[in-house]
Amino acid sequence: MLSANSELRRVQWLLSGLTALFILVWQAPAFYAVQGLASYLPAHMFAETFSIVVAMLVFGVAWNAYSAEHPGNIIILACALFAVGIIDFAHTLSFNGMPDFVTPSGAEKAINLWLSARLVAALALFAVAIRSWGPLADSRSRYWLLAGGIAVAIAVSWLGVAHPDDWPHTFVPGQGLTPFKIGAEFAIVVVLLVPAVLFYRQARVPQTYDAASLFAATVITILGELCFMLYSDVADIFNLLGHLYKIVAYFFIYRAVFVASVREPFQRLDTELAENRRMSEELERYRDHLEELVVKRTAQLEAANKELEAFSYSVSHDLRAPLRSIDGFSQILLKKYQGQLDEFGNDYLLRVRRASQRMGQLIDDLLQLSRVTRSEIRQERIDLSGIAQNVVEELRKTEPARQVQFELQQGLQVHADPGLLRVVLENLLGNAWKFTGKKADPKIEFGVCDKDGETVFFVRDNGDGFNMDYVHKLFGAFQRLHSANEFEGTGIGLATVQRIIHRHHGRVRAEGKEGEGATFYFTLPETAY
Amino acid sequence: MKYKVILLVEDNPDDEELTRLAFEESRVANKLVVVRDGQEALDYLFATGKYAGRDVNEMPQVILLDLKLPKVDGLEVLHIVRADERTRLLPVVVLTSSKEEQDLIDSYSLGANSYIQKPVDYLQFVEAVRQLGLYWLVLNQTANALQT
Repeated sequence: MLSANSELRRVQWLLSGLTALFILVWQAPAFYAVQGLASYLPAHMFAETFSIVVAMLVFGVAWNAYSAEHPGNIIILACALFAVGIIDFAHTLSFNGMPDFVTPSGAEKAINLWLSARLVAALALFAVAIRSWGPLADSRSRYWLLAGGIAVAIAVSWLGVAHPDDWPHTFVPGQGLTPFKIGAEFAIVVVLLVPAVLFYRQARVPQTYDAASLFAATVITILGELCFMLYSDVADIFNLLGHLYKIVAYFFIYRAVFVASVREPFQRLDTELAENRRMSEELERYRDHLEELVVKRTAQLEAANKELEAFSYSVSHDLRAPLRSIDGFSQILLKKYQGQLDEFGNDYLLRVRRASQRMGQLIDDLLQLSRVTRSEIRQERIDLSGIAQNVVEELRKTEPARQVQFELQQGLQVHADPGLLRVVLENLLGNAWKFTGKKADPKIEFGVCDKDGETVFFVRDNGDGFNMDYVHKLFGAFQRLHSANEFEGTGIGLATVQRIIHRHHGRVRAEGKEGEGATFYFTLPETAY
Repeated sequence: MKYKVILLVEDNPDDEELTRLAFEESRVANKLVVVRDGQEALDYLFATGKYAGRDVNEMPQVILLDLKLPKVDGLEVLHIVRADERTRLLPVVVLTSSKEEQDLIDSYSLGANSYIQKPVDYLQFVEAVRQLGLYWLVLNQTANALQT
């Protein structure tokens, strides 16, 4: 982006100076001789050659720097200036005092070509001012633009050089310019006023192209045209001043094209490179600090873990202490003060005891759940069947009167954490034990089966089962599918099971039918067998 | 033979009362001496501070030690008891709410003779205390050095 206002302000200062110069020359007629300046011809040659070189430079830069993303306006300007350069060349060769070129040189012959060149330049500026600065719709159309420019240049030059008498009269020696010539110059000025206004407005806000230079070029061209409306001799000071203005105007067009074709892309490249550099530096910094970052994060995690451990320690210790008091003193009341309480009083105390024991269980289960997450996994060869047998014996001890048929597959061994797998079986077999409590012929199985080529362990019961609609709730902590009246429980057991199996990189799922039983499946990774 | 005392190191008055009642129910006749923190326990054992003048040769039959105690915690008490010539052979039973495995490991590493987690269910607690009394007060032979 070009800084819009400082650029415009600089251009405005220059334009004010050039306008002042114009007014000075105009209002001080004593400065110029009506009969013309001495040795004007070499000065004209020099001025025109310079402007032709600049026009060709504009074309060369724009044409060769072109790419499909470049603004199409630059190519329009370049092709127009290519044509203008050729016509200006014909104009130079035809100027008053030059050797004959096809037809005799003369003022009118040169003026015809001059006016044509100015008209082409004015139309090009006009087109560029109203067209948006997007790229060409089809990048091949630049060849059409160049062909058009060359065709116009050749046609005008040929007409001007070979048929100078077919053009309207523009100049009468001794008298000066004809109304046609003044009218034509005036028309060109009018055409140029449009781009002058548009470029000025464009230059007031930041643009990707040099609108200020285009504004300057247009205004200076207008000043030049005014000079050419005023001269009375083709070699007078107005003519010289007009040519000077033209050179300055071409210089600004060159600047605008150079900026758009070369400087702007380079600047963009620079910005992108700087951005790239900044990013790679940042990446480098990240890489260098990664280690540090990891250490810091690890320390934070360890601190958080410690805090969690301290928390569960105090939960384990402090939360249970009041429960012991509640349960203990209720029991003492029940026993020592037996006769002093009626049936209701006894019942309420029993409720107090049950509630405190349930809460004790809840605390234990929660602690187990959190321990499962914290503790390291030990990998050992373990006898899963043996653990299951052991768990079953424990269960039988809790309710020796119950008759439950167990079918435990023997010889199942895995590589896993013995303590945690025991917790899994305690929960699954414990659930099966609990939910078959109301069945007439309870049966619980533990074994392994093959499901889709995968080894899957299962615990199956013919107990109360569950509705598959709620299967997604089964493994969430505190989710219960039964009320405490039906079956006791804290709702943490299956969440613990899931966590343990996940920590072993296995999967767990359940199938069930209300009233008919449930099956829990779990897998362990290949390496566990 | 005169019954030796049981030293209960317990800061929670409820637990103290429950332990006292549990011993009562289990028909343990030994006198229960209760100290409220680790420092007091050490003062009792070594006859310092509040217990200056106590006959230091009269050692308790067993120490029931809670782990979470004000001032000097249970594990520190255990460490000091095991380090001192006079007390290193005393039976120490850790009696605590904590179920943390680390506490168990630490207690046994420091030389605890037994570790009992106080259950929420009072009846289970009474049963534990009964067995504890049976073992440490009746069946267990303490080292001769401790016999007075």
